[in-house]
Amino acid sequence: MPTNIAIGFSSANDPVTAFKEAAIMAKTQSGLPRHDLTLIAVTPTYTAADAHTLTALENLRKILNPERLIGLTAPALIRMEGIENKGVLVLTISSDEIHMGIAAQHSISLLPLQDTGLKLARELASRMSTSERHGALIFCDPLALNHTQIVRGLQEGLGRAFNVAGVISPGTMFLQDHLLSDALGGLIFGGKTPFTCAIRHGWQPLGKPRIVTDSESNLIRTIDDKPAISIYREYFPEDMAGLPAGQLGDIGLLYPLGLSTMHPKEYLIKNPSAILPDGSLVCQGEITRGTQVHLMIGDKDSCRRAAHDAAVEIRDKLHGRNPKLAFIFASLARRKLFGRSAGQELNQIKEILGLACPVFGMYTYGEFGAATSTDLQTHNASILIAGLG
Amino acid sequence: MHDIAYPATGFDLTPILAIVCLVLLTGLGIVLYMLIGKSEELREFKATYDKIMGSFNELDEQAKLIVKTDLELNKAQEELDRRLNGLNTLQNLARNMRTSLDENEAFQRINPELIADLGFSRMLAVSSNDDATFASRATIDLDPKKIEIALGKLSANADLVNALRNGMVFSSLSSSQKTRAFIVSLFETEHFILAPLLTQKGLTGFLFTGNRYNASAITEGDEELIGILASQLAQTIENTHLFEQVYRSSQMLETKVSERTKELSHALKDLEEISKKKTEFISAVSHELRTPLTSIKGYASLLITGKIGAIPDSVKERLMKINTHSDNLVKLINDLLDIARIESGRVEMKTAPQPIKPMLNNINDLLTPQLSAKTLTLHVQVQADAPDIEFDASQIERVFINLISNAIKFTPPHGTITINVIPQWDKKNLLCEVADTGIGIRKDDVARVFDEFYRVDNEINMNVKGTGLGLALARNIVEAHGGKIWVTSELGTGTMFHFTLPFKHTAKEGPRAG
Repeated sequence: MPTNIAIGFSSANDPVTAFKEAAIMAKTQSGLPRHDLTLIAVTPTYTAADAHTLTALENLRKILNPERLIGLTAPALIRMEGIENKGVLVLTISSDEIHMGIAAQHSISLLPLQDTGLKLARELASRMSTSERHGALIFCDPLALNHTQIVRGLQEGLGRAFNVAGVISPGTMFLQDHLLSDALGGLIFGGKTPFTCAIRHGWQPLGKPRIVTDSESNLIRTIDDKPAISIYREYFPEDMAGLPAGQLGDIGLLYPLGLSTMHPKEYLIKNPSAILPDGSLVCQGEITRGTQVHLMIGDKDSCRRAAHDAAVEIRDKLHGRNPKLAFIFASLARRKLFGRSAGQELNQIKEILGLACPVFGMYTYGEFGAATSTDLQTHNASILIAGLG
Repeated sequence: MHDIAYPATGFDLTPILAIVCLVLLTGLGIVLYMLIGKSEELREFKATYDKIMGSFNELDEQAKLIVKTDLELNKAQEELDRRLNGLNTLQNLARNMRTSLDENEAFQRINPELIADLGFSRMLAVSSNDDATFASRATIDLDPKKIEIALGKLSANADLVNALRNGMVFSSLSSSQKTRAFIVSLFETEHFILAPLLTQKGLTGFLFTGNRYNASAITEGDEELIGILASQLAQTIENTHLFEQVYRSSQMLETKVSERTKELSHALKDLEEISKKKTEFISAVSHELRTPLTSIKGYASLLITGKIGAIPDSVKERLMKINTHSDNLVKLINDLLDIARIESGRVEMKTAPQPIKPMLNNINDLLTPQLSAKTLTLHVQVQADAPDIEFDASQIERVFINLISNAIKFTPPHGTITINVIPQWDKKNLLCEVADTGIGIRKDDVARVFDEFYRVDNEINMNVKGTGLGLALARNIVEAHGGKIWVTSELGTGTMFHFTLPFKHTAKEGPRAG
């Protein structure tokens, strides 16, 4: 059977109706009685009551009859037609050429994270032989973790050069007919169809460089021997004063920290998610002591360009071909930056990947990806594109 | 001071020591020189370092300025986005509400999603009761029990209610600290906007929207938007009231119309009943009259002939008058009987397809003596393509004779009477016209000439006897054929009677060739 890709969407108020409508739309498009894979992304209103969500999931499964089902909660959805603040997005793939496997771990905050990452990687890897594997999508529920440990586990299990595109998005996760929380899930692709990823951000350094003088795991304790929060207090004295304790608000999204990498012009972006009482900043992923750090500033043009470059990279990696399916994961920081014109970024990507290329995407709180000069890392404020085809 | 004693070695060490000292001194000098040089370099390096650090700090100061400006721009953009989203939402909300014809429905259409799109998580829509208290009509994310207490306190705050009555909008952004604290305490909502619902009647309620968290503070734009929304809601409420009034009025009107229609229907039925009885009465009476009249006329005629015996001339003259009056009475009775029969449907028109022209020629012949007596000219103009139509020749002949006789009667000597017969293919009928150059009919009389026993009040009618049934009979005959009859007239110029006879199935479609 050739590859059959279908996408359904609904924004009906009631979860049962929305799941059903999206499933029927996908099934109508695919025209198949069963589907090899169903991937769903839903906005948080649809997972507020587990009982309703379970019924909705059960109905969806009856309609689509999926062999594998995985899904997650997202703050907003991205599809070909645009950005949706509310809805249920359903993707079905049925193909002899694309091999797929799913796996998930739950209650991960209680477990050693690297082991969890490794366990997931091994489970995914076990779904197909080494030679077949092309890449994986990783979904991580908890926000405040040292995601670097998870990434290390994944790399250990799948290999350092393995294509991984991952998202951090808190909320209920779906695996077959179960609802999971505090979970880490994955979807591996293999077979004849290549899978490739690209990640970019578009943020620029601003002001003088500083040094992380003390850090621990995903905490930046001091910068230039001062509490890490000082960097924001210096730049935004008035605005910081008005914020609730422990929160950076929009400032952390619009003006992230940029950590220097091996590449002189490449920065790993971190949106501090919280401030500890001692002034330490909580980030996603590990921060190494001695790393040079900058306050970063973004503008729409450079961010659009970054999205453009990521899409071009996908097409280049596919030898100039448009992908059969594009996964787009964009940071909420970008949504904040673009405001009403958030769709421009999507249009930029569609122009490169082709207007007919089906899109399944969402906004995220963090991204796993490998930039040009780095291994797999936890990024923020970035746009991550994965192309299948 | 002690002299230094040197052992006798045979060598004089002094020059060597001197050289060593010299070398050491030179070395020291060089080191000192180098140290001085290095120190200079260090000073220069420090100066450069300080300069670079200065530049960095300067850069950082500039960066702070850039960031500040950028943040302000971002905030401005966010505010603009919110305003645009708000306007968009407001438009949708207004459209939703405008289509509502029920007050409750209008309130219910302010749903959580639209309020969230406006940037608020809480909402309370309230209407005023007749006793100046408030009643909650729609709420989002507010405790109903607390609302009741809050509304009680609010209605008791005369200053606030008066200010609302004057159209004042309150918000956490612009209200006085005291008012702000009061409203925050009422609804436990840190950031709020409270806007009045004002209609022509005055304060009919208020709209409260708000957020609990600092991140969602109110802006001036929000105040404007909620102010507009409140106006829209008030307008909708007013419209629903007006609609209700109109609806009630229309219901009352419909009831009245229905009652009147019923009454009229009864009246019509009564009239029909009366008309039927009248027709039956006329028919019965006419029959009863005609029988003895026939005897009277027969006996009078017999007496006039003198077969029974000779009668004096004076008696003969009286008998002649009886005979004439009997004839008139018979005619009157016959006409009445005909009208009654036609009205009751008891006369069946013996229609047959035929041309109209031969009948008109016969009429011409028949009326020639009367026309000559008054030196009148009769023109008969039948259009060449007039088709054969289905009609009862004897009845239509009566119509023509009636109309032409009238024309003769009311046209002064040397006048002209014209008969036109024109096929109307589009209306599928034959139009017949009898026009004269007579005295004409007054406008008031035109509408009544076809009424039974109606005689136009003019000099001629005063001198010439008539029944007033001729035109009524003509109308009945034409209508029994499915046609229409009417009259146009100009006083002193002439009168034209028009009547139509439908083609029915006999006439060919379209004018005759040739």
